[in-house]
Amino acid sequence: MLTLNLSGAAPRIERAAPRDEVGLDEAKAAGVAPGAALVLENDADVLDAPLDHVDAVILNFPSFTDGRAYGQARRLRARGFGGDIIARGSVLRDQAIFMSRCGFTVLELGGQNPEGFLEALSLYPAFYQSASDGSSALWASRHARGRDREAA
Amino acid sequence: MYRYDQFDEAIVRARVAEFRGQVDRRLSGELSEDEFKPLRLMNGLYLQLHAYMLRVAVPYGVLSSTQLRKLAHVARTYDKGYAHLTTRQNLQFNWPSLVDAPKILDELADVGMHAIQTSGNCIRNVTSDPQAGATAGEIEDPRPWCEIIRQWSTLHPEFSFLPRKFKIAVTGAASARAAIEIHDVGLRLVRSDGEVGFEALVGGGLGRTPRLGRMIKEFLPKDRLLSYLEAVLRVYNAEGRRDNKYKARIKILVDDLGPERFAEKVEAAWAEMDAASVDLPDEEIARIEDYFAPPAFERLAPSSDVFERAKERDAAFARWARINLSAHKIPGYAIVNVSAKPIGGAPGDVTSDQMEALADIAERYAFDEARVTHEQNVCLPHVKLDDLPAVYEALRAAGLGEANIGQASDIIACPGLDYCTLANARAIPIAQRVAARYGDPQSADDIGDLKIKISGCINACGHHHVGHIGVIGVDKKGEEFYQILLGGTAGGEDGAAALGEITGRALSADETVDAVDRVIRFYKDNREPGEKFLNAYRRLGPEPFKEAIYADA
Repeated sequence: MLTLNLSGAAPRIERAAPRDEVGLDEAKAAGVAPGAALVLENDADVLDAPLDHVDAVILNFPSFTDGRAYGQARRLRARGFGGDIIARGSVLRDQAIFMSRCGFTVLELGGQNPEGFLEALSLYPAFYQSASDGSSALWASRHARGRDREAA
Repeated sequence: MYRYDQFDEAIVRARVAEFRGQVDRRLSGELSEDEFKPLRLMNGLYLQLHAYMLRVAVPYGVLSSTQLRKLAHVARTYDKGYAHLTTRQNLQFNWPSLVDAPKILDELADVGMHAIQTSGNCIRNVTSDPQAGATAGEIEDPRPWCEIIRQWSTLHPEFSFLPRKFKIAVTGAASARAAIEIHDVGLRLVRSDGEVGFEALVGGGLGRTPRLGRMIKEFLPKDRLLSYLEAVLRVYNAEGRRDNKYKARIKILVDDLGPERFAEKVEAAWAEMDAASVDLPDEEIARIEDYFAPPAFERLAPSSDVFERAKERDAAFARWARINLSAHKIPGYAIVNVSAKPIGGAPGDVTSDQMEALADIAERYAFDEARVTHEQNVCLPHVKLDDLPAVYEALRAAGLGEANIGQASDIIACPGLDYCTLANARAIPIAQRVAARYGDPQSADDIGDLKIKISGCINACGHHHVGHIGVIGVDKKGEEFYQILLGGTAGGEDGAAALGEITGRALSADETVDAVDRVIRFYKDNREPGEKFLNAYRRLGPEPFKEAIYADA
């Protein structure tokens, strides 16, 4: 599977090795083996998910107009989940920046050309709101800049 | 008003570049129409009956003269020389071509404008009271909070693919000028124990399931607004229905859960999130508020000899002043409501020449600012009483001098079947024919305040449910028919907001215009001295009015 990995300083195009996948019920009963990924359905409550020792969660986009997984990813990050969050399904370049900002670190590209994704990810110079990718909101950088000027 | 700095501009420029690429990919066939549609919609580009339509965002209705001139230029260069004011304080062009759309967006970006999120299943342009910052009866100016919501909601990564569209309105006054009860979220500034905050209504909206907003938060501290909104949206995005677009608005979720349960879920989501990363620090709130500092008002006497003498001299001016002005909070100033409803015209259409005239007037007499109203008119929020005669003359010369604000001929109408693919029937010709009957000043003044609102279909863009008299177009065996509703109001001066009731079977266009006339005549014949239409309707009840509608049958 061709993927775009966003976990480093710059996006990497990778051919990811398949990993075992475990559904929520099974994970709750038997845990998640090292290296396996927890698959969360769109109606699953992320507070319900056992995340200890899990190093990847897969969230699905049944259609690119179905935005539930964005909120799930953000809630996982807010819970402190530090592993990979993998976007699967209807993953198009026009959604890539939103996925990245909501805390997804791996986008499954299927047969799509990764170049368009790289372009889409670098289009915007700033964003107004805080998100879940560690970037700061425009208002925060405006005031940090102001403080730097005052200090200088 | 808010002015873009280099960062705001860079974001809008990036958006135009992104959209230009998306149009190129559509034209080359790389994107299917199904894939392209949500992308173009999020940039305000609709496909209508005859052409594309581009809806330009006018954040909370506020326009500078420079922006008005640019809009005039766009209408002249890329369209047919006019634009249309919408019920969400936006402005739309009805005839642009797809290839021109990125060029138009480039031109708009030159003046700090765009079409971001004027359509699509995302957070739409935030709307407000067009008299904000000028009206006397205001707890506080809502515009800084509108701008704060605008920025927060622009390209929000989590809320760009919601179950359905999402509309937020904010007001600082008790008036219905922002119609907050019919929005997905309606926010009103309130004072409690000396502190100012918001009360939050959720799940209002019209369309096929009309609902008034339900109170879920009686007092929300101002500086917690964004995190609270984020919690509302998070619950809606997760739990709103996606299986049926007619049941996908937040009002249906609030119906299903009940307002209390919905409010509990919002509180839980609010408690779970890292609110401190969402809510703005005081220094940023202050930065935004600075943009909305009052203009340099002069210290003036509360009355003006120039104004009074002009009224004595010119009866038409005196009448316009009586009908089209609202009280300003600063002595010696008035709020000018400019009618975009000339008798015989299409409600809310303004030509390039008129936009340029408004720009000139605003620049010379009104601190360079005009506002679009949700009733499809224009408001000049700050005009000196001394300048009113000159402003009136300039408006009249531009064909904008109609004295009918709030009267029977000041009709809200959607574009209807003249433009829209969704419509069952035309709305504009009905509005024109009804307005023509009450264009005569004497008859209009005799009827007094009367809100007539016309939609071409069940989607209710013409707000027919909250008209004192509402008209909705229906399809009857492929022909255009209309049903009449009575007793609706968006609230404010009318008391509590209320949804009008359908009176009965559908009528032809000719019958509709006559039936509306019989309703108005029945009111005139049966009112008590000084009693307004809605009060008479509430006192007499629906039955005699229904009889008047069908008296001809």
